Amino acid sequence: MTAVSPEQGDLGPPGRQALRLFVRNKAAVFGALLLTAIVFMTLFGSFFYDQDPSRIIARPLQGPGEGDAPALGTDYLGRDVLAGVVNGGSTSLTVALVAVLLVIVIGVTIGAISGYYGGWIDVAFMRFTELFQVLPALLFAMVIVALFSPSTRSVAIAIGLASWPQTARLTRAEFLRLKNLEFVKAARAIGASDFRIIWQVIFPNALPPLIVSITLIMGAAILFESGLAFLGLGDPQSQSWGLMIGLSRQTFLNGWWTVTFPGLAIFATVLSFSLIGDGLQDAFNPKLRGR
Amino acid sequence: MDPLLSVRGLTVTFGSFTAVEDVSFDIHAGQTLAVVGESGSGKSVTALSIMRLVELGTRGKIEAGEILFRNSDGEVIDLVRQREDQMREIRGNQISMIFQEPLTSLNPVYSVGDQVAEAVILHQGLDKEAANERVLDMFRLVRIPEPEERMAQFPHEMSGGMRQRVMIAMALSCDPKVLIADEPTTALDVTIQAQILGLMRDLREQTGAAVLIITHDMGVVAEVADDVVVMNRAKVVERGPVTQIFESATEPYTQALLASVPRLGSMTGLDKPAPFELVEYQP
Amino acid sequence: MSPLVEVRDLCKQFPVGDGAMVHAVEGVSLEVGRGETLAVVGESGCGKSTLAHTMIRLHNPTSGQVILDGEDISTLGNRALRSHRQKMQIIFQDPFASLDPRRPVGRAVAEPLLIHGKAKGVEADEMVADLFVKVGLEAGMMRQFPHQFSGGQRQRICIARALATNPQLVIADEAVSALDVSIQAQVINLMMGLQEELGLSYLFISHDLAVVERMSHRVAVMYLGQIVELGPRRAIFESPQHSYTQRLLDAVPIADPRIRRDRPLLTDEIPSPVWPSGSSPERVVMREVAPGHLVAEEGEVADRVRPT
Repeated sequence: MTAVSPEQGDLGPPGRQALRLFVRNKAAVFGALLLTAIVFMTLFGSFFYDQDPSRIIARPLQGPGEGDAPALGTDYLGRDVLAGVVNGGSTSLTVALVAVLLVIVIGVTIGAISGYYGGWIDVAFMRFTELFQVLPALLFAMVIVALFSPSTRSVAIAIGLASWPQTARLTRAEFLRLKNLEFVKAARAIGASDFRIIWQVIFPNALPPLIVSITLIMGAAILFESGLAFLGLGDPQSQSWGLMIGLSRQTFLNGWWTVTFPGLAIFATVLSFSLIGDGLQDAFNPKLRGR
Repeated sequence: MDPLLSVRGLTVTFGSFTAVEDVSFDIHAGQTLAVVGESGSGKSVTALSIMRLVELGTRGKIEAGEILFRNSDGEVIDLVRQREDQMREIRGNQISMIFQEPLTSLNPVYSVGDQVAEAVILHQGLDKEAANERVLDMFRLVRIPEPEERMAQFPHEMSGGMRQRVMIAMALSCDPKVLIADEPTTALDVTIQAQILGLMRDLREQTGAAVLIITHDMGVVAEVADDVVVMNRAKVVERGPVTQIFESATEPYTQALLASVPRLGSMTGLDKPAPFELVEYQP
Repeated sequence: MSPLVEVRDLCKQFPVGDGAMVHAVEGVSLEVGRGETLAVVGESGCGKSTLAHTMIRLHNPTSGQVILDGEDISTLGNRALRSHRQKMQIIFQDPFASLDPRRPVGRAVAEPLLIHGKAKGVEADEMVADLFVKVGLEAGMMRQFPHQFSGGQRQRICIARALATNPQLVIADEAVSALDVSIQAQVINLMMGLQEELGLSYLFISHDLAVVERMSHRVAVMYLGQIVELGPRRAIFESPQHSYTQRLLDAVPIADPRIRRDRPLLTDEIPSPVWPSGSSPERVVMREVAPGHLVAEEGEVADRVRPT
């Protein structure tokens, strides 16, 4: 018998315990700090570095420190790379955020209803989900963006539509597991409605794996956006890291800085989401709870 | 006196498997009825059928029979024929239930006070503050020490015995007429079981609720039941007052069951261990 | 004759973080005689299962000795331990979890024979068939799979497996707790019959006092990792001396409706066995009140304030 002490003292709500474990994880805290820095740069960077990224300010293709070039050099038109990096995050992060919101709304709703009710509803919803799952995501997103004209909104919708099936399946699996637990039976026994059981009883218990998965999807969505922008399917009006790399691909042999710095920005952002996701995974792991 | 709850000819199937077959019994107000049987006898399915919880999420189906319940307006209604929304009004309000595993029957993400308050708000339309008052009263009723502090605790911070007290508080919070307890002490240690049995006995006297207890433990039956229904393989084998069942059971199955129950004190005066004198039972 | 197993001052602690320790077993000493059943009773968390698992070296003891047949096995290396493992076998609570669902049950029973090189091939098959008959199953059943058996039959298979190496000590860790009463009674009768036939010793770990009364020669009552009362079965059940033993016995519901006990409406609970770093529980002092009947002095374990 492992020692189960009758009372384990004041552990607080499960969320607070997870937070405590999260802040003990150095890599996860690094990820969170990195992300905070990136978000801060995106929101307030232009106050500190007030330079229009679309303006031609110097001779093209000057490396960092060459001639009259700004800190990170200029691109093939003579635009400031640093200004591009500072401003390019807003498109990437906005697109990823909207796409993930869409993933949550569609994925969680379909997964929850499918898992909770089972039967023919489950079969129908899961076939529908598989339909989306078997389509090659990038190709599917490209078609959607091409159908509507490329804009921040259409890119976000395309990424969201291509990414929700994973979340739906995860939510469904969690609901299948949780709906047979006794506290769900107990909630029914006190007369709770289906709506209440789904959203207030089961859903909060399904959150930990969903939060982990959503964090990772967020990282993937940023990569996805960059990929689309690289292929020229981004909003041409807005600055974005992916677009910067895409436009500079002809010239990057003559100016490594034109692709390296936006590339590093993408890398750092995706890495921060991965580290946070891993940290959350560990923090929610019940085996480590209460230690 | 008319029974409060009368189960008549209840038959429940899961696909081609018959879990409960032609089961009938009555429960009167202020009385404790024990349904006893071994695993797979259909006793838990019977309890879930009364709550109309067998059909949800499983392939269970009430094939036949009626479950007549005298509700708080004095009207006799057949629970089998109630719509789901009508059942929701009855569940937790007029008939409530507690389960075997007090850890898993509480939601881990809410404090225990909030969970009991939910049940009160759901059925009595009280505001949050009044509901919390009610919860405090209920916690005192089930003798949870330091009830104010306990309300803010989460299930994993409590011991099994305390959690079961919370479940009982929740079940009694709306003054139900019938309390169904499905193996309420099976997961508990023996000293805690004794406390919970004492509490349930005490509360039945205080509230006058009818209690339907589902158990496999003949010791628990002997301790709390007025009447006993013995089930085996989906059917009622024997029924009667508790002393009659224990002292002059007529059915071979009941006799075989009783012969295999270890009784504390049965070895008094014997120096060596001794095997059970089992009664052969061929179904 | 010396006892078969002698446990001296056995301790087992588990770390739980922040330097705190669960003192699961704290200075336990006991003996199991040949052909005898010693029952260890107590409530969850009292350390009775950890004691059993430490004795059979599923855990390594923190300190103390386990002397089996005159040899201290508490510090033996894995290879030396192996030959001693044959003499001690364990049966667990859940017979389903301890059988591999994809292999015929006969293989599970034959495994200890093969591991210890006692038999192989046709000879092993014959021995397995004998064991099946011994535990009340048919020899032909050895080719079936675990899911084809009922809970009671599966526990019989586990007993057959435990007996395969001709052990002298069988540890039964809540071995009948998960079974229905009618099956439980049959398995208990089987175990008692096998004891008679083979001269086995049992260490019977259980929370069920009525079962313990039925089948044990001597009883040890554990509370918070320590033994608080140890003695012949009649002494423990007919004149319990320690207040915890009395409380335990009073709590058991008796299957006789004429005896309805007054239930005090207590809310007290068992304290935690977790001790913060640097502190440890006080050891109880045992005194002998009658030949072989040891009782802990009161006011030490039973009344102590919870440390964490």
